[in-house]
Amino acid sequence: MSSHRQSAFTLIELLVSLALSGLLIVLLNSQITGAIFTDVKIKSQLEYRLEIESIFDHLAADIASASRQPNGHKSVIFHSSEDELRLHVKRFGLSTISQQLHGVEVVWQFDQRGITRSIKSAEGDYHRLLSNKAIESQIQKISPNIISLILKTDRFRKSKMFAL
Amino acid sequence: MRRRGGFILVELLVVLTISAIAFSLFWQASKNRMHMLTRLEGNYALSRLEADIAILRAAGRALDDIEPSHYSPLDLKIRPEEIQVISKTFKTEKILKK
Repeated sequence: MSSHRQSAFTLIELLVSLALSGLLIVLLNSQITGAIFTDVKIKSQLEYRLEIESIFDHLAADIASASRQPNGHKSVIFHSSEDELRLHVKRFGLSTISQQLHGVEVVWQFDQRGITRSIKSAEGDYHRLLSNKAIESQIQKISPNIISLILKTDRFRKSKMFAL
Repeated sequence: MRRRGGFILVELLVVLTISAIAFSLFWQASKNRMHMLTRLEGNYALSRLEADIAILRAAGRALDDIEPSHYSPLDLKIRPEEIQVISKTFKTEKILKK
């Protein structure tokens, strides 16, 4: 065995450093878990709220481009029950396959499974899940041609008006 | 080579300082992200409110159908002649007149 050993950490030094690190981790535990929980909170709440805002805009765009019925009102029909709301919007859309203009029916569904947007057209049906979190929805009739869509969870309520 | 006494403590303190800086950066980033998202939500809520007011105005209706709690994080004060929008994220208060 060589007598010229390189200088290195001794076992005592290592144990002391581990003990100090452990002590520090215990002391900072609440801060660390707090930071992690805050991050989770941001993700689950604020980002979900923004998702809902984005969905309102998306729905507003569909309703704004809805075709009109003979009476001048937009072709928007809604069916609501206790735990489900469906909005049927008839509009024109450009096919990505044939590049032709087609009449399509866009169905928005709000229920315990989340929010979905489906497109029914001559070229096929397309289904897209926009949110997979349970949400309560309600349509409030402000006037014969104004509706307000109210979306609510335990934590927030948001509404948007649409002119039909 | 003879090592100086207490060297291990200095090393440990350096490591702990770096860890503390990294942790505080993470904390700050998390806080900034929350602030940014709240501000974004406030902007969304304000544009939604303005669109709703425009719809009510076009229909010649009063603004009583506006429900202030639906425009969180904005704080709305509805007065007979105007809607005052107060938000911590906006530097100035906005007033939307009827």
